[in-house]
Formats: sequence, structure tokens, C-alpha cells
Amino acid sequence: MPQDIYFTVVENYLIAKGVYLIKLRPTVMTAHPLPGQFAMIKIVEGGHPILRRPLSYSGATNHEVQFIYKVVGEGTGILSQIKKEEQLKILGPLGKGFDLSLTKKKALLVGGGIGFAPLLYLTDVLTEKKLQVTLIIGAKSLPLLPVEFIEKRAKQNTKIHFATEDGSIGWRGMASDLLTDILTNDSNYDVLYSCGPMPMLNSVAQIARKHKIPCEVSVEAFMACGLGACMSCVVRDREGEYLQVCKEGPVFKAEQLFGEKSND
Amino acid sequence: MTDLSVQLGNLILKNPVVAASGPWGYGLEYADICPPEKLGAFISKGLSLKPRKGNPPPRICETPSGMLNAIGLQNIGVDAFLKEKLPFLVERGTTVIANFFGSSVEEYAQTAEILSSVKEISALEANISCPNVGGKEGKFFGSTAERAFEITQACKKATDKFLIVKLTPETRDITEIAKAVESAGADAITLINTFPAMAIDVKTRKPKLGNITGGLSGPAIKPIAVRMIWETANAVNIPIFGAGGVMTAEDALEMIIAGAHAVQVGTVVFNDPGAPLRIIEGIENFMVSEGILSLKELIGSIVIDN
Repeated sequence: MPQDIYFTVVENYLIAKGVYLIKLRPTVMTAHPLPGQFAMIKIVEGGHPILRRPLSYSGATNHEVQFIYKVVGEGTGILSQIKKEEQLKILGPLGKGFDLSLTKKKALLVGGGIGFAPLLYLTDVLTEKKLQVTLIIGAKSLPLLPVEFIEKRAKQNTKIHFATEDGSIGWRGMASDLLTDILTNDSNYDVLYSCGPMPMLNSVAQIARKHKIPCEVSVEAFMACGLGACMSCVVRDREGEYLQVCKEGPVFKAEQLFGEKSND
Repeated sequence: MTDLSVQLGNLILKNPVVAASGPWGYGLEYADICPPEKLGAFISKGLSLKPRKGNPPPRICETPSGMLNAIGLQNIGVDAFLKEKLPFLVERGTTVIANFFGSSVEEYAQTAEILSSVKEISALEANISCPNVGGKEGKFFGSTAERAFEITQACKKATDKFLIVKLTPETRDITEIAKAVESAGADAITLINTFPAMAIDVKTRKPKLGNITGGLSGPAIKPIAVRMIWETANAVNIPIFGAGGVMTAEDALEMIIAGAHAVQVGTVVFNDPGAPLRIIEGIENFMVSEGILSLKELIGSIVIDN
């Protein structure tokens, strides 16, 4: 059951160009979120801006939750200026997270842009269960990637591969190209989890289908209520029907959203 | 004891704060955070004869002091609502008002008739801000007095229930529309629905909404709503539900003083689901501190110096 409670900011700092990490502790007992779930964060005390901002949990312990976010507009801009000890109201946990039971031994995680954020939490949980994780993270260029942060965060049992479009670090090209390359050498993965821009998720879905690997994708949408009432946040599925990202997602089976054709 | 109850004809509300149609869906998802039975009434998402899919995304965008929405009146259809959603609300002791619409006068009447036979529904609210399909002039059914009269009359013939007609601000003279629906037999009026509006992403040069245009709601439209409530309260005798950007008890009181019997809250629930209950408390605190025993004393109590 999602609750709307106050959290106190523990830390809020820059980890890469335009990318921040905010850690908060709840002021009362609250439900523990699962990887892939998100929260609706009230970024101001009053009503301007009026809407909350949806962010996926990038980490959670018994005492703290964590969100990694990119500053893309007014709301995230305001969020980046919030100081320690300030309080924010957070409605969560919301949505359907990743299906952890799909990982029997080895999982492959592909993140594009800020999409790596929920995948870090997923990595925490899978590696805690002693499962193996290969993490592919793609971005336009090195300054946008919190490389040391990610390397320090990932514990044993995790292989990390970076991909940048300009080749400033790691593989030169898209994360999906690197994915293809990795699977060519070893496609023995139980599942592929992915989060990032829609065209990337489409490519990842096609690649997963080709290798017959079950695949889950996490998508984003502009949201108002965040809990399934207002019907603002829909995404089109492969049949042209509308699914609510906040309630039926944000994690979907790749084949729900992406058909055989790659032009959607 | 402060009396917050409101009587509108044979419809009695325990307090003047009502859930507006749309943002709350059918009430289930918000039930734990803002129990619908604690509000004066709960107005359902707009219901149509057949289920509707709604518009392509993006369906919303934030604008200064508000937001645009073009949900496209997605709903499960009146039959599914009655079977799957209404029982939950009734079980909790909610005062349920069913909002409905159609794409023709006949559809309005048919839907009203179906809802009429349900005793657990306390009132009906006709959304006449729908595109004026088949009409000669006026963008929406509620844009001209003629169409507004026609629809209200057809609905009134189809139901014995308390009928509220929700007006669109997209019209030349709101009092003209209000008088027309009053003479057609409406029991109350809701002022106002969202205002047609638009936003463009300058980087992509594309409209921010999949539907191109949408309805503006939130604090940005409150002054328009207050003006229309005041003008209409001076033009008709039937009670008014104020709606449009109510965020606080002050906003609600503004509308009540302007002439509204009750207010509807929608957009605010996205910002803060606890707000509606705080608005009720705020109205009560105001009455206590001003020594007002009954809400009746406040309705239309605006002071105009001559």
C-alpha cells in the first residue's frame, strides 16, 4: 500500500554532469520498495509547480531510500537545490517492479542515459542473493556517466561495461550494439532487464527476442496521480491499446510493448 | 457545533468539499489516502454508454499554476462502472454522484436513464463540455444556450434524480448558458470545467499533448471560475458547485462567498492527496473563528459596496 509521508534529506549531490543523487530517510515506518518501483516526490511545500515528479528508486535499505535523477526541467531543477535536513513528501512505493524470479543464475541489465538508476537498485538486490549480474550502461559521453560511483557501488558478482556514443569511455556506440556484441560471445543469460529511452528499449527487445531471452523493460511517462486513478500516464502496447505506466508498469514484459517490427 | 452540511434540493452533503470528476478515477486507488466517504460527495470519472479508449499520449503537461489534460474521457463504460466500481464506494458509505456524457443528445439521455435506476447513486452530473457533434454552432455542447438546453431537457426527461449540469467556460456568456439549463430543469450547475488550451515544445516544435489541445485546470483558472460563479449566482436560482483550481480552504471560501453551495476539488489531489481533508478542516476553522454556525450563512455572502 503506498503511503504519502515526509522524508528528511540526508544528502543531495551531483554525481555526473546534470545527474544527482538524493538520499532520504523516512520520518515514520514505511513499506520497503522493490527494484523497479517508483515514488511521486513533492518538490515544493506549496502548489507551484503543481505536479509531483515520478522517480524510480535507485536504492533502498531499512533506513534510507535513494533516487538518482537527471535535471531535465523545472521540477528536477528545484529538486537539485534541496538541502540536507529539508523535508519532502513522498508518495510510494508505486508500480510494478522487476520480476526477480526470472533470474536463476545470471541476469543482464542494460541501461541507457538516466535509465541506469533503477538498474543499480536491481543490481544490489540480485547480487545480495548471490546471483550474477552483467551491467551495460550507455550514455552520449563520459561526463554524463558517474563511472566511479557505479564501480564503487557494484559489489562482487557484477561485471560492468560502459558504452558511449562518442567513445569517450568504454565501447564506442550504443548500449544496444554493445549488448549484441556481448551476447555473441555468451548468450547464456536467464533474463534481460532494461531501462532507458524508448528506441533503445525497442532495440533491446528485438535483440532479446532473437536470442530467446526473457526481457523486461522499465518505461517512463508524464504522471499526475501516479497510482492508477487519473489515466494520464498511458503507453501504447503493441496492439495499440493503452496501458497505465504507473499501475500496469513501469516495468513491462518487452513483448507487451514491442512487436516484431522495430518501428514503434 | 459548526454545521458544514449543505442542502441542495433533496441532495444533502455532509460538507461542501466534493471530489471533482476525473482526477480521482472511480475512487478506489485514492481510498486509503483520502477516503471518499469523508468528502461531501464523490463524483465519478465521466461515464459513457460504451467504454472509451481515450487519447494518445502524452495526455498531460504542466503549465504555469496548473496543467493541461487531454485524457480523452477514457472510461470503462456505464455498465462496468455499476458492476465493478460502484459497490466499493457504496460499501464505504460514500455519497456517489455519477458524471456522464455522450456524443449525441440521444446518448446523454440513454446514459442518464441507465444511471437513474440505481438507487445507490445520489445525483447525476452531465458533462456538456464535449465536442458539439452534429450541432450547427458552438465548439462544445455547452457553448451555446440552444444545445445546452436541448441536452439538459433530454437528460431531465430520462431521470428523476438530482441533475447537475457541468458547464464549460468556453462560451460567450456563461449566464446565458446557465439560464438555459436552469429553464430546461437542471437542479444545479457546476462552474467550471477545464478551459481549452495548448502548449508547444519549442525544441521539437511539437504540441506537448498527443491530442494537440487539452483542458487547463488548476490555480490558473480559479479567478475565471470565481467570476463565473458570481455572475451566474446573480442570474439563476439553482445552486452552484464551484470548481476550478481550488487548492486551499481560502479558495473554497472564495467560491462559496461568491455564490457556490459547495466546491469540487480535482487537480489539487495530484499535488497533495491530503489537501481535500485539510480544506474541510480549514473551512470549519474559519467558521469557528468567525463565529459562523452554519455554512448557509456564507453562501453568496459577498459584500458589494454601492
